[in-house]
Amino acid sequence: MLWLFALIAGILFGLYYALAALGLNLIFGVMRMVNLAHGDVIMLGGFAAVLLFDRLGINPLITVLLVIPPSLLVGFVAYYLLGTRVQRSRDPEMMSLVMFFGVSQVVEALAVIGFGNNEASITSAVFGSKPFSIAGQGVPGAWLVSAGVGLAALILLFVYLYHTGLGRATRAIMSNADEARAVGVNPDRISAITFGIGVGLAAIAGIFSLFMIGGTTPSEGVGLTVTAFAVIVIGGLGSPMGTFLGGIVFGLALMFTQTYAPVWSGFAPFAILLVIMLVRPTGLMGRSVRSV
Amino acid sequence: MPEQMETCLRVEGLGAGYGSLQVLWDFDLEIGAQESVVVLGPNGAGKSTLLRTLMGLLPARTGSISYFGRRIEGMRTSQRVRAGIAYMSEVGIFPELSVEENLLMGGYSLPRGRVRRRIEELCELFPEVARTRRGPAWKLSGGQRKMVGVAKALVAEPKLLVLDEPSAGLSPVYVNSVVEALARTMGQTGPALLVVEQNMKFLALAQRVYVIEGGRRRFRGTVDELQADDSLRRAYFGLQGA
Amino acid sequence: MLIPRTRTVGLAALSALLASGLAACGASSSTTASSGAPKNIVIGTLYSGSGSFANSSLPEFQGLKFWIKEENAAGGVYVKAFNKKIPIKLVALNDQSSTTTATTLYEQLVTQDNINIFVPDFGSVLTLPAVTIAEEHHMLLFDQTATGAPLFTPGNKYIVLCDLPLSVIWPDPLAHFILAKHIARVAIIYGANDFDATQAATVKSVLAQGGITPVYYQAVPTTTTSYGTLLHDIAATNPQAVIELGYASNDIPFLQAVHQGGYHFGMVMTAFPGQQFSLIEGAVGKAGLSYTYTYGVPPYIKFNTVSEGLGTNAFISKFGGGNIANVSFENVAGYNTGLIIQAALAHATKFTQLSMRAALFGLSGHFTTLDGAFQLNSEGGQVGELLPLAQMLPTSSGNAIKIVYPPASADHSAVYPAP
Repeated sequence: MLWLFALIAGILFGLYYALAALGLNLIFGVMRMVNLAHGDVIMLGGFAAVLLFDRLGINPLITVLLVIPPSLLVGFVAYYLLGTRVQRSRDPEMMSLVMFFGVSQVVEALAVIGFGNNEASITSAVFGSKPFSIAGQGVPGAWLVSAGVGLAALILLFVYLYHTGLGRATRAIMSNADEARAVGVNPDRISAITFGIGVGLAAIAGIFSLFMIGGTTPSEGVGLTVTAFAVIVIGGLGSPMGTFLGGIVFGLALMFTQTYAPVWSGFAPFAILLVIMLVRPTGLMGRSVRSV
Repeated sequence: MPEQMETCLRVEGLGAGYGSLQVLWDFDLEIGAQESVVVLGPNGAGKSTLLRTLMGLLPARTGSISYFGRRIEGMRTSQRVRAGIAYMSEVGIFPELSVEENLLMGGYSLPRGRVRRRIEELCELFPEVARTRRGPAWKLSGGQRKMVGVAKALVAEPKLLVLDEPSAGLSPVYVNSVVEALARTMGQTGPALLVVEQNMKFLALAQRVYVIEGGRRRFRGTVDELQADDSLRRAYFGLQGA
Repeated sequence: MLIPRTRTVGLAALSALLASGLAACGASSSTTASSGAPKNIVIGTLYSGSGSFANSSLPEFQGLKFWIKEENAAGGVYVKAFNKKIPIKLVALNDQSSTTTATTLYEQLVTQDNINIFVPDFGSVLTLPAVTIAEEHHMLLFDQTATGAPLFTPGNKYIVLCDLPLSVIWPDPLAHFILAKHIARVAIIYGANDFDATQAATVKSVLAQGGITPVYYQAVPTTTTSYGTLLHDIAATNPQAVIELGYASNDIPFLQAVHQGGYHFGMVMTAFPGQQFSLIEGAVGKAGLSYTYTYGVPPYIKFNTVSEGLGTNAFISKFGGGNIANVSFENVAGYNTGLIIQAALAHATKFTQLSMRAALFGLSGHFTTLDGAFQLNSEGGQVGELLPLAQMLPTSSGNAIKIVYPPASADHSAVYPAP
């Protein structure tokens, strides 16, 4: 039953990848900015979990809650310090690439100074040492917890975007920023909040990267940004809910190739990305069906 | 503007543009409270730029904007909206939101309870909107979009309603129904209305008309005075055979 | 002075020298007119101050600096061509783990910094750009730890491998251990790169000689960090031994996945816990590493009778303050690079790059350091310093690395199957 395990693993990893990409897409959707430091925030989330666990014995699930306030704060400061400048420039998308590339480099360098170059992880089996059985397949507890948190984050984001006033204003900006300003929305305020949420989601994803991709290291940020970017392009740029689908497609592609043609496993998710770009350039949940 | 009427909006010497391109030059405009004014002009005359500058979506380079005696050219858009100016852009709606959510966004700066009441009122006034209320806005036809756009702008109970080419992309039948709907809404107690248009049918709503060409004011007066001007009559009425 | 012009002149001078058959080691600035002996021996090298190679490159760089400090404290390194000791000057540049940066900086070292000795950064990826530059400029490359066979070609006289054997021979003791233990069901998963693929091919071919075909033999991308599904598929083939040949960044998630998934195999082997013990134990935990096999490397395999430099124990005491936990393989490797340079200078009759090479080939097979027996093949590849098989055995204070095979160098017997 190799395929059944690949299916289950693909979905669980898919939810993790969706979590890892969600913040990037939310920020892009609202601000048309590509946060190239996204992967570095994931990395910092990983280090936060390792340090809090090693020094204070704090369970990573508690860390999920603990990273939220500082992430919101960092998001606010980063938006007002950098984001507003990017938004005022002639070509925000390009400007954001340059600006956040710089931020990414600085964060990585500071992380090396602060944490050293070594791979860090949580070594004890905090989520159980015995696999759990799903449909007769033994699945590590950490996968279930990671996927569960990913799913919870997706649902909470959905509730926020579709059932609160702030969320509606956020979607209004995604739909038409000028029109949103014209009904009295203050885009800076919404953007700062969104940036905070995006950073928070990345930091939370970082906590689980310890269990899904084997640890965290200061240099992993760039690779994670690329993966997250692939997920959101598959799902549809600017469509947070498309990210869910993008993550699942990415996870399934990875796990099925690992099972049936391991040597292609690094390539397959990106091949799917190319095919989707050719067949449906807006991504799976691109603009035309975004409001579903 | 009738002399006894309170002035809603007074624009003097307004200039605006994008980068090195100056689009609007030294523009003067006046609207009385409850007055309806139509600004006519061809494509690229600076009509949308005028409205975007009024709303603060584009900074004024020169000149002043007074709203009920208060200078507002330095205010943020959100402040102007809270002061009672509602604006419908050419797009007019948020396509990715539902019709209901569009109406809720129209009342973004109002207390929630009042917004709900106001939406119910408007749904009675605009049966077309009530019918499509639960659905997504991107599924609406062009005419329905304009209706929803107008209703959305009216949710905020504005004192001044500003519409950017409500006829754009509409078939003549729909233009008529938009004009009728607006006429119905304005009535006696409605807000002041500023419409920029190319379509003559909106003159039915107008108490006074401005003509803008090349970013400058070419004419100011009543509809009758406009028709009395030979060259303008040829330019605007002649082509449409009205 | 205009730098481009100087550089052109320098290059022209160099070509002139080469054309006249005088491939001089030193460049003018460090050479005194009177004796012909340079004021300093200039060693040029790169290190990765950040990025993915930093955790290997920096300790290796420390080892080399330690050797330089030792030599300079004793008045410099002995240079036979001038029959005197000459102080060493180090020119070290930071490539930040980037091959593009490294390429530029290697060029700079060779063309502008007037170096006498050319030492590349750690590992194959960062050494590769130096190989062509060294060959073009006729500088002997003291390759430290880049062991991939493609780096060594019959036509290239300007490379010697100092601190590790060619990767193709690494797994020889491993494969023979498997045969000796009569392990019939072997799973091999390896990184899709030269370094790992050559090792995997070696294991496969040695096992084939014993009539064993692996039950699982798959390459995965070098970037793989999720091994859960792969392990599930490996476990489905019911192997007794699972061998993962990758880099440390593969070994860590692999070992974590074994632990996380509750898998139990009679034997688990990965390449890097021996070379990067504290890094990997820190990331996968003591329990996650217990009974794992790995390549045994210095300082865990000890050479105390040496013909050059400090022996293992002396190095541990002098460099690591007597604690083996403070000494990594990379420290030994960097120090050993220094010893090879020292030997080359001490035996070369002329102060030229090819004379140094000839001296090292003359020493090949007759020369032992704390890194083992120094022996070169005809292409400059290292074939002397064999890597025995080691196993992490739990003790009261954590895991201890014990050499378990071949019997001649073993200091403990293997615990197989793992409990």
